[in-house]
Amino acid sequence: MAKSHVMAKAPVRTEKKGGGITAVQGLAAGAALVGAPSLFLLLGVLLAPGMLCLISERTPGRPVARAALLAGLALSIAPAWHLWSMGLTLAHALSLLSDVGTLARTWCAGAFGWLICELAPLGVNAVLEVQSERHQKKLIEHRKMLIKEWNLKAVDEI
Amino acid sequence: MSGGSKGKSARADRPAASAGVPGEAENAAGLIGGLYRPDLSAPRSDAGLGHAAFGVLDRRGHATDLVAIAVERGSQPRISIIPALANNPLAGMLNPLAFGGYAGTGQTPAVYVICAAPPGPSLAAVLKRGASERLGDLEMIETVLRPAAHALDALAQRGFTHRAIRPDNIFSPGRGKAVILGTAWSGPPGAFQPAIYEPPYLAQCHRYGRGEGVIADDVYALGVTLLVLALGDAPVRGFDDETILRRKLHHGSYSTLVEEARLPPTLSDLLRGMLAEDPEHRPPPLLLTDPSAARSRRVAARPPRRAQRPLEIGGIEAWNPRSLAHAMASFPEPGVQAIKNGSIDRWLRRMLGDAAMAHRFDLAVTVRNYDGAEGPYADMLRLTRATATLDPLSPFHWRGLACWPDALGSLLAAGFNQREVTSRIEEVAESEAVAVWAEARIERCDAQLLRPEARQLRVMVNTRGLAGQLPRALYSLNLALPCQSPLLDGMPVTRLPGLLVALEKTASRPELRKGLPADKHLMGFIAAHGEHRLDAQLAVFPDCPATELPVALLRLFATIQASTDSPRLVHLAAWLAGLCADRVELWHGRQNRERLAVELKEHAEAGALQAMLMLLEDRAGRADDQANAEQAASTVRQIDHELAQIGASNAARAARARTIAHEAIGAFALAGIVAAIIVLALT
Repeated sequence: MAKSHVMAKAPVRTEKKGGGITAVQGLAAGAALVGAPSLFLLLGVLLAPGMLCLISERTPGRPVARAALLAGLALSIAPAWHLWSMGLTLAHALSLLSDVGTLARTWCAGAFGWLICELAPLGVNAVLEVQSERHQKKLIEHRKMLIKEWNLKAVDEI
Repeated sequence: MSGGSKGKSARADRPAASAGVPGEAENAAGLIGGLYRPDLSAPRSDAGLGHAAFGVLDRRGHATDLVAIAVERGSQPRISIIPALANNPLAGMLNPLAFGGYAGTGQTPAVYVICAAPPGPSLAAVLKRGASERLGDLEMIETVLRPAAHALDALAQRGFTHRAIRPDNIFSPGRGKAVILGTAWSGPPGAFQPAIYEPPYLAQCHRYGRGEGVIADDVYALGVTLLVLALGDAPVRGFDDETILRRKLHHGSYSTLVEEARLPPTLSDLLRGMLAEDPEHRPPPLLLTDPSAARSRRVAARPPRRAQRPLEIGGIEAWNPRSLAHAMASFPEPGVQAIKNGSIDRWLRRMLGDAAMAHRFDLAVTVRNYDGAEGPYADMLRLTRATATLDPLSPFHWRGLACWPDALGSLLAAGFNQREVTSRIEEVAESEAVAVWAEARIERCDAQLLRPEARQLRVMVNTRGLAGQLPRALYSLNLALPCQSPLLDGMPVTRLPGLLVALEKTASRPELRKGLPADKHLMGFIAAHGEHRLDAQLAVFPDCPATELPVALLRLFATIQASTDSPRLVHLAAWLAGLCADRVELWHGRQNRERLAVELKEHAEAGALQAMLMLLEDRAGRADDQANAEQAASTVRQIDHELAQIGASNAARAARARTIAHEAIGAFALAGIVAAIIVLALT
């Protein structure tokens, strides 16, 4: 009973911590919305795919969402700069957002970030596997040599 | 006398080195004693004794005046006597000169005893010539009794007996000349004596179980010989040996043999003494050299007491204790029954009227009075004590087999292939019955001596493994018996160095190289002849597993080779090397194994058993090999562990791959942001 009681408490504490971060993020978002609603709108729309990933991904550290957001952010720098230089108005923000090319590039960058996050591990894994097989082969050859050299028919009997 | 002179002339050119060892059978050029070669194309029927005999050629192939008497297969010459007589011959008998194995061309190898040839016809042959050739009383005393008594006295002074005195083994060089006793050295003592010439206590034994006996037994045989010469024919003709024996036991030897014959008083008095039942009552040979003194010797021997009614055992009517003892020994089952139901005790008290004998009998068969009285051999031990008490002169009996303890060896040799003999001897050994028998007749034999001998026999028979059991007893009790191992292919090997040489010959024939170069006969022979030098090597055999036997044999043969200066044994070494090849495989290191195999082959080709043994028993090298193998095994275990880990780490590797990829992508994305900012700043 004591054990189950302890185990039951642990997720509560984690939930509280996660809730704190969420609250801080919420406050930051709220501050951005109040201070620069046009910029918030622009980045919110441009980074929408990344945001969706951020919400839907459950992997610790959310690496896919992070990649999608960072990729999208890299192509959102220029529109955000334009909005900043034209004045932070909602009209300008909507004007920039009406440019399909800008929107498509930014969302494609996010999609590319997601895609590369799914494909790159396969490549890395393949490289690691090749290395591992090579090492395994070396070990097996060494083992065979030892058994032949020392007549180790049954290793446990030595 | 001439026999003795012949012995001297033949011995004159004998090498001094081999003079003391006439049994150097396996010597150079296949010559017996290094000098004599039996001429198997010249059989001699006049040599007496009943064995096959042949002429003898000398070293240069010239005929000699010697005879080679073949030793029966399964028996041995009298090695306790031959060396002594060969080195210091006695006058008045055909002395042995040498003995040993000889394999003639196309002939079955056999052991021969080289003796002087008879100087003339035997007395039996003279008798057959007719009444004109018969000796008169005085002539008989002068030419037969006195010379024979002198010869027997000389034998007795050396502690020997002849045990083959009978008319066809006494030779006359000519009318009026002193006779010469024939040979008696090529087989167990008394083995060829008809029952008539043997006292009852010897006649009832198995013919190979009569033992050396005492000189008084020769006096008895000489007495019967004189009687035959006086009568011109053998007495009690027409009776078989068993009937003669029973009559002797019932009536006494003198009464049985002389019967109603009319003998001259001189001879009659002599024969009465010489044919006395008790050997202690017979005149010694020295006394017989003066027949008048021997005649005057009166021995107060009481005639056996006769019962009012006989006691029947196994269909034999016993009238006195001696006959009863013989009947009980011949028919053990009814004998034991008679002891148990008290009929013998009653018969002794009521029919024989001998209360003292009955009392001694009661003491003898009372269970608490002797060892082994309640074991599996209780009945037979009780019977043994009973017969020894009823007739202290009787031999040792066991389930109908009678012998004297010193003849157990020759009996075992003669009956080694007969289950009824070997099983009885095994029982005798197991029960130490000889010691029980000796203790029941303590006034007639040395029980203190027989007890350890019986125990030693028991140990030999009970020794397990290749080097034990009956074969070991066989060769320990018959040191001159040729090894009967089939591995020797009939070669008559009587000594340890010759054994390896014979094995080498066997090993040189591929069709004979099957299995191990040893069997129970061979090992028994080695154990018997190894004295105590080979005890350590032989001690491993009882518990030796089959896989270790080749090396144990190699160790044994190497020790024999080293201690006997045997020549190079190339084929035997190759045989053993082949058997020990598995031993090389026990080494772990491949290089070690290859080196061992090469060196083993080299030593085998050199015939060096000791070097082969040292190679296979290199303990330091083996320990190093073992340590290195253990290290290698440990490394293999580590590799196995690592491989198992690799096999089980696919998920971990995928996770690691993801982590690396994601971190790299994050870094690239950040780099992209920085690049975008820089591009904006520059434009």
